[in-house]
Amino acid sequence: MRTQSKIVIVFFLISLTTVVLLSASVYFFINRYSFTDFYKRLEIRGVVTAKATLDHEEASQAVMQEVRALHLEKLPEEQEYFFKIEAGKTFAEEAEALGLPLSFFKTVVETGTATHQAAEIFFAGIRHSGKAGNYVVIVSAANHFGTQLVSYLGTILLIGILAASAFALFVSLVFSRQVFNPVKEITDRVKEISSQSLHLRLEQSRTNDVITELEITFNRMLDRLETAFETQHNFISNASHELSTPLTTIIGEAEVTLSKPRAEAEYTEALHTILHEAERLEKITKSLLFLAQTGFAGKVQKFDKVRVDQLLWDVKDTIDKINPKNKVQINTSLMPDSPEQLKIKGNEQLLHLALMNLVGNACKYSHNQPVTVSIGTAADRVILVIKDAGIGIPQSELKFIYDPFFRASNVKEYEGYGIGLPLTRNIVRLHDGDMQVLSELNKGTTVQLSFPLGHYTLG
Amino acid sequence: MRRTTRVMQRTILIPTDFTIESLNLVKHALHAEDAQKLDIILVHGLHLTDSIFDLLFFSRTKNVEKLVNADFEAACTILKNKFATRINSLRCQLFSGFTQSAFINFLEGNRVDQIYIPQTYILQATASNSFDLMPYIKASAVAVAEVHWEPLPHMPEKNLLAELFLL
Repeated sequence: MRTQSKIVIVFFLISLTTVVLLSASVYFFINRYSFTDFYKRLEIRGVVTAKATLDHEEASQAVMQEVRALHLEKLPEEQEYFFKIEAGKTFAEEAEALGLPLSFFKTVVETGTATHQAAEIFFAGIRHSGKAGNYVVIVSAANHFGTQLVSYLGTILLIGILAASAFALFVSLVFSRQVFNPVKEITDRVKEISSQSLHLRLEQSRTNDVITELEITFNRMLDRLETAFETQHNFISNASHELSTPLTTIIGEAEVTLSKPRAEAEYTEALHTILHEAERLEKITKSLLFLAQTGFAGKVQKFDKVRVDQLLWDVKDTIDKINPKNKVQINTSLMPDSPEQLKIKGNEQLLHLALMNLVGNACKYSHNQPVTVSIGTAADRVILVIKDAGIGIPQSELKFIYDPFFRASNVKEYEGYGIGLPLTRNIVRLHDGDMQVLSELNKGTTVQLSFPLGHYTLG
Repeated sequence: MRRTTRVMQRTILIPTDFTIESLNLVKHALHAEDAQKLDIILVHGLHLTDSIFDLLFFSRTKNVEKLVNADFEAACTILKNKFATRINSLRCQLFSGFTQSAFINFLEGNRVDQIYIPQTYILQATASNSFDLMPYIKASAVAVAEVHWEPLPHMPEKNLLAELFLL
């Protein structure tokens, strides 16, 4: 069943149940009230009549008769009966004559009052004790007014229920359409967006509700999709460009050298150029291969305990060998004393490579200005902060830094392929880590890494 | 008397605005103090709400949680881990009194031995009903040490955890 029809039915049933319950209770209580009220009236008549006819004092009889004449209007089909209560009397004949059950008389004699309804006629009986003896006084009358009132009420309520259910059905139809209209609109607009028109976005309504949230979420997803598509597109073009540049150089150099006989020194020089370019090619393909390997989750790396501080000193040693002019300082002012708080679960080679990339970048893009590497441990994560005072990354390009082969617009004079950061991020992700790159153009870049603690105990 | 012998345990009070930069006071205090064990109380001035409903469901811990962000909390843990042997406790408290005597009571109640305040850095009003504790601190009888540090230049990592390492 469609959700829309479901909503209509539920909404309709709820309204209908409420109306029916309300009407039924109104009908029931009014009906009961009208009966009780009528019996009370009959009882009062019984009392007055009994006093008027059976009381022994003349004066009191006269007063009661006056009251009766002045205030008690004759009810439709009103009848009064008096039966003296005598020992051993069963009232069987009287009961039969009036069409009343014997239990009615019994109740009157025992408890003092009783009521009974036979078709349209209502009976109320009371026990009257006077000087003339004990009597059963029965008053009967037809409750035309009450019956009419109740049946009229029933008709009104029935018509009311019908009208209300028709209204509820109409409102629930309109309501469900209102609810689903925005969703339908979104579906229609999303249908227009294909891989060829990923730049299209949903228009955001101004109201701040669930639908707007859906639209925002959808637009964000489109943003990511578009970026991913672009990245893939750029990756292929960048990769072929990066690979073809050295190849072109090699081919060109070889062709030029072969075009005529040359001196030996010239051959050597040409071969050196070719070797240099081939080495560059090899570097690119190797790092590409590595990127693919780390990005592929299916291949399980061997993870063991790694002491982050030890790792940092190793990285510094390697950097010192490669680039003796570096000014990398390791800031241990916040490093915890206990070694348990420095051990993480990871692959040392991969982590070494990732940190080498970051620290190497920090040195490279700051012309060997001081680079600080700090270490600390929060509740259950080891935090590493690498800060340089280099050229920074333009704000608008920060979101592309993890795209393979992407290079920021301000790094023209530095050598590089743009594979380091995506590779580093892959490695950090493999270790359930978190990587944040904060940067300000020409002021410097800060990279904050955090890795979950391995919870290794001493020993 | 207390300063003459090496005191084993001391309680220090440090006003805070829940920014990483304000934790510089804690760093300085840890270097300045020679006591073995320190109980550090980070205090923030916050007026109580006037609404009867808010007061009915008032909770000090919840109020502190509202002001503290994840980076500040992580920064506190880093400090605690670093100085694990020296920091006995580090906790955030709110002061919501109006009078000087209320503040004196607060200091006595927490047995505060020393207060550290910034010399140049101005603590921010973190919430709309925050208030400045400096007048109360300066008028109190407890020893107050002023800590000076150069105002930090604008950094991309402002108010992020990384800032703590660069203070």
